[in-house]
Amino acid sequence: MKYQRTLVNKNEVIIESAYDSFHPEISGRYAIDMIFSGSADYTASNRNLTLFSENFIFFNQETSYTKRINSPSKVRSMSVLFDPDFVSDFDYSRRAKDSILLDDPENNRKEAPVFVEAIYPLQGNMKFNMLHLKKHIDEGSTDALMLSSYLEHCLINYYEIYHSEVINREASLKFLSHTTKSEILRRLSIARDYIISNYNKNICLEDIARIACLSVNHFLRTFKQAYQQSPHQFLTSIRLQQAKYFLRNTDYPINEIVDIVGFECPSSFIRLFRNSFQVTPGQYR
Amino acid sequence: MDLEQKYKVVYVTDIRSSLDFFMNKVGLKKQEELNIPGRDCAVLKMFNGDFLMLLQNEELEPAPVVLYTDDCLRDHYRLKEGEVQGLTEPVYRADGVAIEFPDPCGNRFVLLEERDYTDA
Repeated sequence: MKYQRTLVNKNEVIIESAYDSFHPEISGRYAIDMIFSGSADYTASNRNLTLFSENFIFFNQETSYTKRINSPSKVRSMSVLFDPDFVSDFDYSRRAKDSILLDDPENNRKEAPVFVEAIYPLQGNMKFNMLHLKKHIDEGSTDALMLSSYLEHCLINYYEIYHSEVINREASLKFLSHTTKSEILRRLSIARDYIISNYNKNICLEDIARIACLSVNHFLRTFKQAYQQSPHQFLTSIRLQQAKYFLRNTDYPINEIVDIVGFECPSSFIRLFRNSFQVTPGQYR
Repeated sequence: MDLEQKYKVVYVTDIRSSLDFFMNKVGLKKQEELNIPGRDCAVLKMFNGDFLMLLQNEELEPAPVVLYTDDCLRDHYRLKEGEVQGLTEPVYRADGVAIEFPDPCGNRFVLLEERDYTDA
């Protein structure tokens, strides 16, 4: 087991490689937790979530969560814990006009932002920057200023993802009231996390709608408005993405990957894979 | 001899100050100095293994010179620490992340970390 904590001013980066570990009651800082291989279970606000490889989860500073790893294969993960002042400063510098920033750079009244907590794919610039950060820490870098610049870019990347995954999707909901839109998206986000956490199991629409506290019809209609696909299409895309991960990073036979990601038969998996990525799983590998 | 390695030739008006800049501010390593009749020339190894050839010349190329790196944020931090005037903030583009900076002779450089977003 490897557990490495690196302080970056008041922020912290934790890199862990473990088969079995338990971290109870983590809170007080904003957190971006990511998994590079394997999976980890989280409990937060009465929700049980599973974070799989190449995904990350965001927690607000006031959320108390637990993290558990219990796996026959080694799980590699990284947690970036942001000091609330660091995030508030970052948020203020993005939102305030230049003239206000010049007149009142400290702004003692700035508020800690609250985000919709959700699981997102670890991809694009966020993935590249976090892999660079991990490499520097693995190599023993303790240059707080340099590491801090990666943390700042981690927030830049997160804000971009948040804008496209939450703000834009909220706007695409066909309700007049902003409060209704926010509440619907919050519930859809819970449903989305449930699908991601249980992507390899047999899950039914009624369960997902119940988790989101929406009727099945209401859930189906609003999910499609927000994500431009049905929950079933979303589940299939998650399974295909995970299948891609296993094809890239393991030598498991395709039949085994089909089982792991929750497809029922290899032929439908191959057809779906080819339709989505224009190559067969074998060619992709 | 590795035929895959590429040389990027850049004209500079003062090879000593350019060499000092690329070695001490940008962090490139000097590979060799070449003896070209009538001209000073130095070869530096870039982050991706390609070579940057600085060639003494009275005129500069007007177009920006694109250099490639494996970690643009690290290099931005280094250049910022070196107080390089005219350094821009990292910009995310469709092909990766890039910064711009001038060298002491007035050449404009774009330092690009190419990123393949297809599967990432």
